[in-house]
Amino acid sequence: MKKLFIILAIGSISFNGYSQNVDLSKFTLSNNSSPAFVLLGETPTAIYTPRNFKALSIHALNNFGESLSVEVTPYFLINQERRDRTYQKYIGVMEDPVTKEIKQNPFSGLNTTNISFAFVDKEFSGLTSKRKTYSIGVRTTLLRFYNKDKVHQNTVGMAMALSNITVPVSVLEEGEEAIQKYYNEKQDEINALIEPFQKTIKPIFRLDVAMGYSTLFKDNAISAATAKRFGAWLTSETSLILNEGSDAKTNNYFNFFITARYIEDGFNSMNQTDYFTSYYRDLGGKIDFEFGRIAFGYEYISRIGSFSSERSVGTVKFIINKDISFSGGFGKDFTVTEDNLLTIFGIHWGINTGNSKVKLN
Amino acid sequence: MKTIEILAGERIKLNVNISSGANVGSNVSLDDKMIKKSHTNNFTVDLGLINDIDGQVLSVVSNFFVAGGNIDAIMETTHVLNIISPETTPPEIEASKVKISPTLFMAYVVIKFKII
Repeated sequence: MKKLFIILAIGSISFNGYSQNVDLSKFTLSNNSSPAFVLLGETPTAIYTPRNFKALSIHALNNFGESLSVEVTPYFLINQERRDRTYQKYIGVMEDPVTKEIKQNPFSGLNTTNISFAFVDKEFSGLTSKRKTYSIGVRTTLLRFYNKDKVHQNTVGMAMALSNITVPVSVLEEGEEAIQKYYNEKQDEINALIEPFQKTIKPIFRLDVAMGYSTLFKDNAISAATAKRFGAWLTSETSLILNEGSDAKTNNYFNFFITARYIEDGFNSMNQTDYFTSYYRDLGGKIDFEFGRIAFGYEYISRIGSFSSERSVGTVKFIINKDISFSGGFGKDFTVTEDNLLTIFGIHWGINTGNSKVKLN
Repeated sequence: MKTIEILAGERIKLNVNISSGANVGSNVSLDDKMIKKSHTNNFTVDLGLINDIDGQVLSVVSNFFVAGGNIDAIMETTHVLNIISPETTPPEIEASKVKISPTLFMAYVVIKFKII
């Protein structure tokens, strides 16, 4: 077991080193990374998510000049005093109050629109010294269709389970710490209540779009000429549950992706002074299977442009828990040279901010 | 704990209005005895005559589940308003929020009734 962790750690370090070289093809299918970070070849471990506009402006003032990475979901930032939000409106599946018919809004995914901004000073492949670069991006879900009856049933079931979690007045009067301690002590009971409704229900179909634009200062001065990089991605995902009706804790899925993307990459230089731009268009697809904590799949992407190539990669992902997962890939990458064997290994982890002391499932 | 003074003979109603992007379920108790459960964002409870609940403590607990991340942003934009009628000062009492886990947070309010 100890050996396994050493191997995993070495694999992670080598992957991180590899990621210093910008590879735009890393925006693979089902990748939820923000376009601004993808264009810079960065996966920042500390992305700042502002709670309001004031906090955002203070953060920008305090950090500009250093590396800066910010992600904003406008739905939660604009009009924070709104008094008509509901979960049903947010996911777009709701019961008509008059006819009791279940309806869905296929455009509700626009609520998840995410805007990202990154400013970094880093070395790029082919350039000998660091370059100041900024990038902006936007990602959203244009369309999504759920099994609306299934989602509604699960929503009501979860809400009813939540309504059964009571807290004595003596605990409420003591405040935050006592309340967290109480939930911690009751976590087995709470997990038993909500677990039947925690299965992820994916949309049957969703269509995502993402765009990013990045500028690099060629001579590291604000007055210097710039090189540009632009990317736009369109991805559709169709998901089918494989274990419908089973008592398993998770839903097993078959997922089918189709993607199209266009990229202009001006961050290329042969002699440090003359930059050139390469263009390419990608079209491809991916199938994958999710069985609880394990997922494996295969993707094929054809590339036409400044050079034509293809990517053919098998992928494996193992989820330890909600925050940590391992992923790996093996196959042929886009590179047109002989050295086009792709072997990747990575550890992904999420950061939960704020006060979180209770270890509920 | 807030204390609300109400004229003898008045009938008291509680309206709970929840605005949140999270799935929510609530319960209402008098002296720790649950009198109402709700899985909706807006509901009203008839608490009866002030003469019958004088000195009792009302607690309203709402539990929120967030499945797809963003719990901090969703919690920030969540508002739970408790409106007691007949009108009192203040007429609306906003619940306090507590983060429990990366997927769960709660909001609560505690009120004591006093007859005048």
